[in-house]
Amino acid sequence: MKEFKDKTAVITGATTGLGPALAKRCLEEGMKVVIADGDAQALSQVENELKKTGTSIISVVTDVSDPKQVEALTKKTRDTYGAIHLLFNNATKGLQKSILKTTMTEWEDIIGVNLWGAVNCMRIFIPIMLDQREDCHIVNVASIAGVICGLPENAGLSLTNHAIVSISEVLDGEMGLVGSKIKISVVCPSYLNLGLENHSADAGDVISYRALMNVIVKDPSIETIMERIFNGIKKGRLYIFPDAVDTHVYVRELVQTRLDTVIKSL
Amino acid sequence: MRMKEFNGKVAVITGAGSGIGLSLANLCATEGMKVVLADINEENISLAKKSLVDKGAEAISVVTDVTKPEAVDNLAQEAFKAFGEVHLLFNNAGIIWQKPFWESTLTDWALMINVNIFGVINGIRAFVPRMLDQKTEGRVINTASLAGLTYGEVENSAYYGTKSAVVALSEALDRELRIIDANVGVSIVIPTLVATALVTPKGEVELKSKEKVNNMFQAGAHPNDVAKGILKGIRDDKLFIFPDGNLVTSFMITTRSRGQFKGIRQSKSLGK
Repeated sequence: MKEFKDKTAVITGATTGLGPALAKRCLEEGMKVVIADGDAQALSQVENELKKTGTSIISVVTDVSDPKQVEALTKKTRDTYGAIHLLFNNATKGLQKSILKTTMTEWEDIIGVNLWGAVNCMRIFIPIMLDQREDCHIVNVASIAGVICGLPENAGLSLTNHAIVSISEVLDGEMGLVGSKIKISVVCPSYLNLGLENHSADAGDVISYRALMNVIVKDPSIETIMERIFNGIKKGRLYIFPDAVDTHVYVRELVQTRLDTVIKSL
Repeated sequence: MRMKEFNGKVAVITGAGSGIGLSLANLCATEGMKVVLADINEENISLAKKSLVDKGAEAISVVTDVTKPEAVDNLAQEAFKAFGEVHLLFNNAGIIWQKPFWESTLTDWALMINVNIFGVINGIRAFVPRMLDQKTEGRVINTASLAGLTYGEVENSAYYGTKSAVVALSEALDRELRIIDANVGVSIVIPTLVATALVTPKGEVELKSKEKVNNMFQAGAHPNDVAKGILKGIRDDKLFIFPDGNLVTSFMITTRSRGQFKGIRQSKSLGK
C-alpha cells in the first residue's frame, strides 16, 4: 500500500502504546480514521486530542476479544467511510507477573486481547478486504518479545507476541499464494515495560535484555517510529523493527542467543 | 538439574490415549514408573491403563478435558491421591487443523487456543505448585512442535501460532524456575514429524493433513522412538528436546531465524 490519502484506517487499542501516534500519523496522511478501544473514556479523550490534527475521525468503543464487537466495528467503519484499507491490530495488554502467580482471569484477559483480539479482527476484516480487491494492509503490533526467548515475569506477553509473529508469517504466505492485494506486517518495537530492571538473578539472555533497555534510554522519537512503520508499510515489509537502527546489534544478539540454545540441543 | 532415576517415580501424561502420549505411558511404565494416563477419550486410556496394569505396572486413568481448569485440577487431585507425588508432568495433549485462515471459524480457533495453549497453562497451574512443595526433583515436559520454531506454513496459522506460544511460555517458565533455583525443571519437546494422528475430540482423524504430510516425507518417526528420545532428553537435562531431529530440522529453524535477522537488518533502511 503506497498511497494513503483518502483511504480508511482502523486502529484498535487506540488509546495505549503506539495507538494515538498511529492514529495521528494516519490523519496527517489525509486518511479517514477509525479509532477503537475498550476504554470508552480514554477513547473519547484521545479522539478529542486527535481532532486537533484532522477531522475525518470517528471512534467506536470495542472490546476486540469479543467478535460481535469487532463485527460492529467493521459495520460502523463501512457505514461511515466505505472501504477499509489499513488495519492496525494494536490492542495489546502487558502483564508483569510470574506464571504461577497469574490468575486464570489474567490469562484469559491477556490472551483475549493480544491473541484473540488480533485473530478476531483479521478473521472479520480479511474477507471484507479480499472482496474489495484494492491494495490493503494489515499491521499487527507485537514487539521483540515475539522473536526472542520467552521472558520471565512476562509469559503472557511473550506467548501472545510469538503467536502473532507466527500467524503473520502464515498469513503473509497465504495472501501471496492467492494473489490477494492484502499485505501483512508485524511490528516489533524493542522498548517494552517489562519490569525486569529489578531482577538480580542471572538468567542468561535476560541480562542482555537489560543491557538493551539501557540502550533504549535514548529512545527514538515517536515520530521517528511512525515514519519507519509507514515506510515499512509502503515497502511491503513483513517484519518491521521500527527501532532497529538504534538497537540492531542487541536485538540480533538476543535472537541469535535463542537460536544458539535451540541448535545446541539438536 | 538432572533426573536420572525414574524407577518408582510418578509420571502424569495428558493425551495419553494415543500417539506420543501413549508411547510415553508405555515407556514410563517400562522404566518402573507409576503412570497417570489422562485423555479426553475414555476408551483409549482405559484400554491403555489395563494393558499397563496387566504387565504389572501401577497405573490409573483419568478422563480429562485439558481445556477445562477444573478438569485438570481434578486430574491433579486424583494423581496425588493415588500416588502421593508427581515427578514428571507431560503436558502432551495437542490438536491440529489445516485450512486457509479465511476459512477458519471461531470454533476452530477456540479448539487450538484452548487445547494447545490453555491445556498447557492448566497443567502448569494444577501441578507445579505442589511439585515445588514436594522438594523432590521434578520436570514439566511440554510437547510443542517444530512448528513452534520455524517459519509459518500456509494453512497452519493456528498451529504455528499456538505452538510458538507454547515454546515461549515454556521458556519463560524455565527461566522463572531457574531464578528461584527450583527443584522442578522444564523441557520443551520439538517433534519434527511423527506418524500419529492428531485427532479432534470426536476422534476423527485429520486425514487431509496426514496424507499431505506423508506425501512430503517418506514416513514420520515412530512414536515409540519419539518417547525414547524424550526420556533421554530429560535425563540429559535438555531445555529443548528434539526426539526425531535431523539436519532438515536444524536447517528449517536456522532459515526462519535468518529471515528474522534479515527483517532486523532491512529495518535499518526504513528511514531516519
